[in-house]
Amino acid sequence: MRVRPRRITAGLYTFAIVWGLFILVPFAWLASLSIKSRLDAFADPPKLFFTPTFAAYGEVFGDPAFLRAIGNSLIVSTGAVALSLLIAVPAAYALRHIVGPLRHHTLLGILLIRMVPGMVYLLPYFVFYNKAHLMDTHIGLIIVHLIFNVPLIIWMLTPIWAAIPHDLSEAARIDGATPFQTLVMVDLPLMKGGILAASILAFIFSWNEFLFALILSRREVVTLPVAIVNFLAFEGTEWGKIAAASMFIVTPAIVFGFLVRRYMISGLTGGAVKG
Amino acid sequence: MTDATAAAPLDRALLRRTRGRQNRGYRRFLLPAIVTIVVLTIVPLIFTLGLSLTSLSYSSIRGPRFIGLENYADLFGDARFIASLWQSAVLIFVPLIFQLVFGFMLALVMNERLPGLGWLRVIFIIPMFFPPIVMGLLWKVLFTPQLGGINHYLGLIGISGPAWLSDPTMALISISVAAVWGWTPFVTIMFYTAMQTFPSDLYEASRIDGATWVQRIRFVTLPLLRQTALVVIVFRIMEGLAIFPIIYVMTSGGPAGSTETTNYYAYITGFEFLKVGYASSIILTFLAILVAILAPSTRLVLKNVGERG
Repeated sequence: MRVRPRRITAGLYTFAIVWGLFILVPFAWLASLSIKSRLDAFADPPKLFFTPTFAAYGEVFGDPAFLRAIGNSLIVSTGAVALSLLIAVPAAYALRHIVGPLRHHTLLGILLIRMVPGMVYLLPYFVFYNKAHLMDTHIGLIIVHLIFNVPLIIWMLTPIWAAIPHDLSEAARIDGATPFQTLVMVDLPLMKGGILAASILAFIFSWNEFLFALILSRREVVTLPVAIVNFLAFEGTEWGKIAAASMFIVTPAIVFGFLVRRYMISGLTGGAVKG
Repeated sequence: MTDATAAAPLDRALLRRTRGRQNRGYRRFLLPAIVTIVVLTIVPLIFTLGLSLTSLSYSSIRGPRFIGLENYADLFGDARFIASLWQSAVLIFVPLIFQLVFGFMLALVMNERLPGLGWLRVIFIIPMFFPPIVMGLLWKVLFTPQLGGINHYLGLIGISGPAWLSDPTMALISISVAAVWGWTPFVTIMFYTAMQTFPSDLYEASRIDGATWVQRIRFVTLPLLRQTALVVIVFRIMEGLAIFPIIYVMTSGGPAGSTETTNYYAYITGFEFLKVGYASSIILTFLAILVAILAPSTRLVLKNVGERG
């Protein structure tokens, strides 16, 4: 297959390296900012070599508001994933067995709903939550996260469910097991890996969510992305602290993201691409 | 399709009939999801429509009243709304063009399996997991004088760096750069996944016919990617304004409203001016425009949805 001209090979390598730098350098810059002293952060010309200090991390983790935000983010993300699984796993199971237009329309419908910009939903929730005392509550935030996580999990699990062997569940059905028993005793053990991957991806989406949190939980149940924005508003020059907090939010998202990257596409686009 | 392992056609027909009878037992597993989605999305959508026909405003002492289409009529005379539509178009389509070009090139690099570039497969995906708010902070840092150092390094190669975030045009460019950084990986994965499924005999045939590498890309790869490109474009247009958090931290819609997209304007109207009724009409009009643009292609794009899996 050595039909590729050398000039083009060189071009591809150049592009690959430039792109790699484009991705990594900004990230490295943020990371370095989090371990720079304030003086070094604003040094002109920029200091590439400096004595690292972890003072900013100390400040971030010494800040009670930030610690509360970590707790809130964990509660909301975990709650949202758990509730989404409870609703989406049975649905994906049903979609494995259901045939005909019901299946098609359900999958299509939830895909379209996922594509609607979040701002459309935000206004009615704002009005309703003010009336229903759901403003600034964990459960209020968990409920809105279902809007994107239930479709995500259904779309991720449907192709995986189709790919696992079905002889066992069919045998169980023939032996008289109800659909529920088959789900719990046969399908769920086989789907463990897929469900774990879907949970992780859903967790990342909840963990990263900003828009709903900004409006529906500004004061009491502040989550991490909003807490960081508060740093920006109240301590505008504390860039080391902002960078350290950013690193803390982004690291788990990237680490867990790597684990599930294979599954992402079907979850994000509902398999609208063949592959 | 998934029953390809079944032995005889007769068995498959039997299986299908049995399953059809069993469908009834599975529908109730679907019910909680359908109820959840209808209650959480369709109902609020209808509620928004209702809100958009009222004068509801939390900053006004007068109670909301039904005003029919007045909000929508006001939109036509609202210069800020018209400007926001134009800025939305810029911030959706400018990054999209670069995402498509770079996403394609990156997919090509990965597909060629060049030796020594394994690390690229691992790192190219990083921005996808970035919280958009951190993405915005990251680029705000980089574009901030002194703090980011971009202008310092531009100065070293003899370019006097612009005022990235405080000049209207440069602010649009800065946000576009962040959007390209953040969402090119999505395009790359889509293209790369599609490339994996291309039949190799087509490439084989083109090679026997003496096609050059460039001709192969031009006449085999690109035409095969058309369907995927359409899917990518539909998704990126529909979700293009998910850059809201980036705008929020980088420019807050400024300077002088030059980076205010329509969803940002709806946000300001609804949650800062507290004119919820008017904000509803803004965002619904924007949704209607999106749907009108995308409806013709959506049929094409989604026709194979649900056939898989």
